[in-house]
Amino acid sequence: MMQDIPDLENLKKQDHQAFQRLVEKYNRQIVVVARAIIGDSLAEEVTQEAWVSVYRALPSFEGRSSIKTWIFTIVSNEAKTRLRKESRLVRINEMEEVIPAYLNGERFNNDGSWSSPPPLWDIESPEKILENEQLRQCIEKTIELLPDVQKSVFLLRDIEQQSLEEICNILDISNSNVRVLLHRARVRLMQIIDQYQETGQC
Amino acid sequence: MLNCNEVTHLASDHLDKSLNWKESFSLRMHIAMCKHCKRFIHHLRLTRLCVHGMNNNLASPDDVKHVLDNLPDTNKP
Ligand SMILES: [Zn+2]
Repeated sequence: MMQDIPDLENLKKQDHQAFQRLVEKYNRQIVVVARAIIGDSLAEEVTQEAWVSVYRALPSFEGRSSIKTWIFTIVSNEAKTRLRKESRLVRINEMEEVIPAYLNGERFNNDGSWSSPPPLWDIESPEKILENEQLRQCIEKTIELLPDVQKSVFLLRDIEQQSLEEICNILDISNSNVRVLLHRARVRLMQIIDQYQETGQC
Repeated sequence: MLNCNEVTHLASDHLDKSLNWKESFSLRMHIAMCKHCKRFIHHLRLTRLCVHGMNNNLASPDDVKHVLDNLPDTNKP
């Protein structure tokens, strides 16, 4: 798709349409990143501030990183600055999360062997899975409902293809935390696909 | 030697090539012999490929308008 290539020349000139396309493409991700750092109540505000910063800084964008990594870094800095200014504690609570069954031990025997191994999938290609409208919606809804930090890690890695190191910097969390959260998100989605393939619904 | 439960926990690191050579070797030895873990990793890889194909969701027109309307006047495109 053409929109995958941001029109850098026009963006640097602060062209209205090019900027609008940039907002269309990245606003959802920016809100997710902001929410992971500053929490739900201030995420919209920080997002707005970040876009203003992006707009102002565009003429001096030098392309040392990809434009999306650059934008993620700007929103991350806005959110971190805001977090330091807020006197009340807006730290995100991820403790209520339910660990996926594959990872909480319930599908294994005491010796670590499978008691409930993964089921066969009838639909075995990513294209076919995404062509299935109901299953696609299940996947989208599951991503939407992931806890904030986990969702952000997952989106940055598996949808936006940022490196683990970049994600650590953007979200200010350790490499091992990034890996644990990423794995939980992937496994949760895999379980939804399992469930759909076994029962026809999710 | 890794057991199946341990393999499930290392599966994402395997896909991201974040395992050290020793872990990586043990994991490969395990999935060469264990069809369940092999399937688990295969399905996890498929799951990742699926979501990678979902990167074309754009922001709602209302949200975009909100961002553009709230640029400071001096900066308005
Ligand atoms: Zn196994």
